[in-house]
Order: sequence, then C-alpha cells, then structure tokens
Amino acid sequence: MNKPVLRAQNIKSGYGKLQVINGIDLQVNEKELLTIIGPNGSGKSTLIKSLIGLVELFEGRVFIRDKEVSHLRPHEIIESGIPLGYVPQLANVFPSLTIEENLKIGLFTKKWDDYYQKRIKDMFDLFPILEERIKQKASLLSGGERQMLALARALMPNPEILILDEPTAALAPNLAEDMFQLIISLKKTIGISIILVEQRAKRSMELSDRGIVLVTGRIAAEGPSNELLEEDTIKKLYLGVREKK
Amino acid sequence: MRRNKPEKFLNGSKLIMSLIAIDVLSHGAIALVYAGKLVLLTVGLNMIYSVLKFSNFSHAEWITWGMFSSWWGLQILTFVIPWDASMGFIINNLFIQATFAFIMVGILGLLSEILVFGRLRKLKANPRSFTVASIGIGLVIRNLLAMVWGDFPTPISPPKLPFGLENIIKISITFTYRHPILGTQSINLTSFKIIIIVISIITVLFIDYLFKNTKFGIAMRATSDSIDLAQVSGINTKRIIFYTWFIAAGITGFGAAIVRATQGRFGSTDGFSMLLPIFAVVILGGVGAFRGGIISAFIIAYSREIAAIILTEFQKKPGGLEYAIEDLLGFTISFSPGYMDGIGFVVLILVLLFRPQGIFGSVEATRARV
Repeated sequence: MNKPVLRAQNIKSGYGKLQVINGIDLQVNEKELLTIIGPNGSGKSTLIKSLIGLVELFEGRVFIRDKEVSHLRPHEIIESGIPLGYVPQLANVFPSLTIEENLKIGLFTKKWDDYYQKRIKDMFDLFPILEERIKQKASLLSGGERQMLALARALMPNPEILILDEPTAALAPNLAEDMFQLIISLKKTIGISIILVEQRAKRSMELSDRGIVLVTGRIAAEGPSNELLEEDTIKKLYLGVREKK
Repeated sequence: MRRNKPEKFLNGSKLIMSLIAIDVLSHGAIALVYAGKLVLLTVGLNMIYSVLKFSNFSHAEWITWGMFSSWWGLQILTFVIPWDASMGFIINNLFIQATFAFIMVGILGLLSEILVFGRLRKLKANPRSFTVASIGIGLVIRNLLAMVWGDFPTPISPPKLPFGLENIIKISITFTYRHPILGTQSINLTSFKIIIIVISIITVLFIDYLFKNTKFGIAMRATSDSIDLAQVSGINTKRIIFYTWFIAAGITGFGAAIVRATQGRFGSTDGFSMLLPIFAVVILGGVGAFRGGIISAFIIAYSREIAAIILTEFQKKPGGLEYAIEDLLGFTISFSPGYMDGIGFVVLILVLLFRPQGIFGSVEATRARV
C-alpha cells in the first residue's frame, strides 16, 4: 500500500470567528488523485487552504510526509523543504511579472542556478507555449495559458503533492478536458499526489482514485471514485446526473 | 485709469533676445533643481503605491520628519562630538545627516505598518481605508511636529557635502544682469545643486534595478500581485512588506534631508506643500515605473517654469496681457507666476486622457489602487 503524503486529523478552521470546516479527517497517499467535490459554499477551497496554512486552523493537526505543519505559515512550509505545489482558483499567476519571473517564483526558496535552468526546460517541454512568450507579462495571457503557467509554476519545485483549486474554472469545455488529461498525465508520468477541487464533479470523479463529497464543512461521503459514482444520492445531488423519466 | 504707454526698448532687439535667453536659462536651472527634488521625494511614494496598492498621504509627513530628524541628527552629533575643525566634516556632513534621516523615517514607516496598516491588512480592509488611515497618520505627525518644534519655520545652517565634493566638482554657474526697466535676471546653478540632481537620478536607477532585477524586487512585485500566492511560493510576505515600508520611508527621509540642505528654512508643513506635485509625478510617470518618474518630474518641473515665464510676460507692463485685459474689459485678471503649480496638473490631466496608466506605467500596475 502506498504511504500517506498528507494527513489531516479532525481539522476545524475558518475566518475570524466564522468556522467553515467542522472537523475533517483526510489522507492523500503517494501517487493518488483525490477529488473533493461539493456544492458552492461547502468549504472546499477553505479546506485545502487550511491544509497549507493559508486559513487559520482552530483545531486539529496536519502532516505532510511525517512533518507536522499545523501551525506553520505557508512560506514556512516551503522553507522547511516540504515539496508542495498549489494552484489557487483565482489569482493563480502574478500578472505584473513576466512568465519567466513567474516560473522563478516557483523556486523562490532555492538558488536560481543550474537546477532552475533544468526545471524551466522541463516546464517548456510540458508547456511549449510558455517558452515562446517567456518575456511577456502574465497579464497578457489568455485564461487557458494562465492555467498552464500556474501549473508550471506549481510544478517548478518538483513537488510530491500538488493541490489544485478548480483548475478548469473559466475554461471552455475542450480546454477543461485538456486540463484533465494533463492532470492524469502528470500523475502517471511524474508519480505526483494530487488533491483536486472541482465543480465539474462527474468528469473529475471519473479520473480520480478516491473522492470526497463535502457539505457544510463536513465530509458527507468518501470512498473510491468508482463507488461514489454509483451511489444514487451522490449521483442525483452532486454529480448532476438526472433521473430517467 | 489708463496706464502709461509701453516704453520704447532702450538697446534694441538684441538686448531683449539676450534677456529672454537669460530668463529661460534661469527658469531652466530652477526647474532642473526642482525636478531633482521631486525625483528624490517620489520614489518612496511610488514604492508604497505599487507594492501595497494605496495612496499613502502620510508621505508628506515622512518628508517633514526627514527634514526635522536630519536637523535633529545634526544637534545630536553636535552634542556628542566636540565641535572643532577636525570634526566639522562629520557633524555638518550632509550624507551622515541624510543617513540618520533614512533610519528615523524608516522607523516611522515601520511603526505605521505595525500599529495601523498591518492591522488593517489583517482585517482585510479595502484600499480606501488604508488611504484614509494614512491621511489621519499624516495629520497626527504634522501636528505633533508643530507641537514639539513649533509651527514656524526654523532657521538652519546649510550642511556640507562630504569629502569636499563641492570643491572637487567645481561647477558653478552664477550670472546676474540688472536692467533699469526689465529688472534683475540671474542664473544660479551650483555644484551642490548639480550633485543633488545626480544623487536623485542614481537613487531612482538603484531602486528601479532593485525592483526589476533582483530576487527581492521580484518578491516585492509578487507580494503586490497576490499575498496568498506569494506565501505559498515560499515568500515571507510579512518581511517583504516590512522591508518595503522601511526602504520607502527611509529613501524619503534621505531625500528630505538633502532637499532641506537646499533651502534655508523648513517647517511642519513643508512636506504637505510638496505632496500634490509628488503625486502628480508618480501618476504621470506611471505606478511602479521609477525611471518614468524621472521623466515625469522633469515634465512637471519644466511645465511649471514655462508657465511661470508666460505668466510673468503676461504681467509685464509693456504690452502685457494683464494690462490689455484691464484696458479692454475694465477688470483685472491676475497672471501671477504663483499660479504656475496648476499648469503641471493641466499637463497631468492631458497625459492621463491619452494614457490613463501614465507615460511609462502598465495597465495592471494601475488597476485596483486608490
């Protein structure tokens, strides 16, 4: 059995006095794709932000590999050498920075030397369009290109775990499918663990190993994706599958 | 009442042309020095504007505090170091005073962040709250300075450049011409003033390089774009914000100490009186475009002086527009050169109509700022 890369134990978190996540246990194993789905406002983004220190943890503990990161700030997690990549839903690139600078930021805690050159070459192999426009400001990229840049930046440190917050949001259906294929390819070729938060629930569940359905900050259902896909209640409420008349 | 007819020119058109040339050069020299001051005092405001995304009105009091603290530094040095001929070069050294002002104003900037702006950021306050808070901080500091040092300009002795720079670089253009009717014309550009202009430009180029080409500069711009994303990329954004405050405030203090050296007196409203032209330079040059600030400072300074020349000509007795209007319409419109500050803003508005992001600014750097 694959080892856990990330573990969360009974986490409660939120903003100020507002508690959004109400006690969640979660585990992501090596080379596993875990999809988190749920209705708007269920706390999906808050949950993943709580795992990496962007949202204050009221209670509970988070471990990445065997290191506890519960009360570390995001930059402290990265500085402590934990290989982590995160692509937020909104503001996923630095618009005033060039594409090259965006990629450099992905390796901020490392020296920008030969290793950076090697990684940047790897990223250009994955996303050739970025090489063509390396000196351009990120603000000039289209929505799809921004997602590529965001993914490339997150992959620069060669992370063991990649956290993606609705990477297909605001993408046309064909581009969204391309993104899903890219995620699957990353999982297979690099062997990276991925937490994927998605609104395109059915398609993302089809591609993932396990799934979590989140409702009002609690786990409503959890298990292998193929099993969740078969459950009538989940189909009806969260996967957008309509009953046949 | 009818005014006297214009006198005939005494020495012909050559004299008039020479006087106009002297007038233009004289105003050109004034504009050059004024632009240098603006450049130096603009950098800090531009840094805060571009990294922290709000208009810091307390910048005016950073300038005032820089002037006061550099003078204060002089007093401390005079007290600590026994004044004699061998120590004079330390006590009255402009760079030492300016460095002292850098630290003092830098600390003021840090205190503003720790006591007010950091808390506002934690509460996710919008940029308007930051701007209003900065106005409040400015008022408090201005009044405190007036309370402690008095609200009247304090007479001071001008500091000296270190290593006898004034004597090494012997540039001194001083020309005075007195005409019985057209008055006194003079050009005054000393090596001291030229060095100040050079320091201003070097400071801006240094900050521009820091901002665009160093890891620290990239981290500052990344923090400006998205604090969350910068944090998950491993940037200690809190530290970057502290450094930004300290450097921005410090450079303003440094600049204020140097500006103070060019003027005989200073008071608690000196910074405030320069605030609007400084804002105009930042907006005209473009938010985050430090080198653009140099060009825009020169545009503002020169348009101001050109306006002064034109307004003075309008005021002159022989054939002046002011008199012609009075003769024609029966009432007076004053064309005092004191109105020259408004012309810089006319230029600003005209440029913004065609380039809202400023001459060298980028659209995304201008967005979401107040």
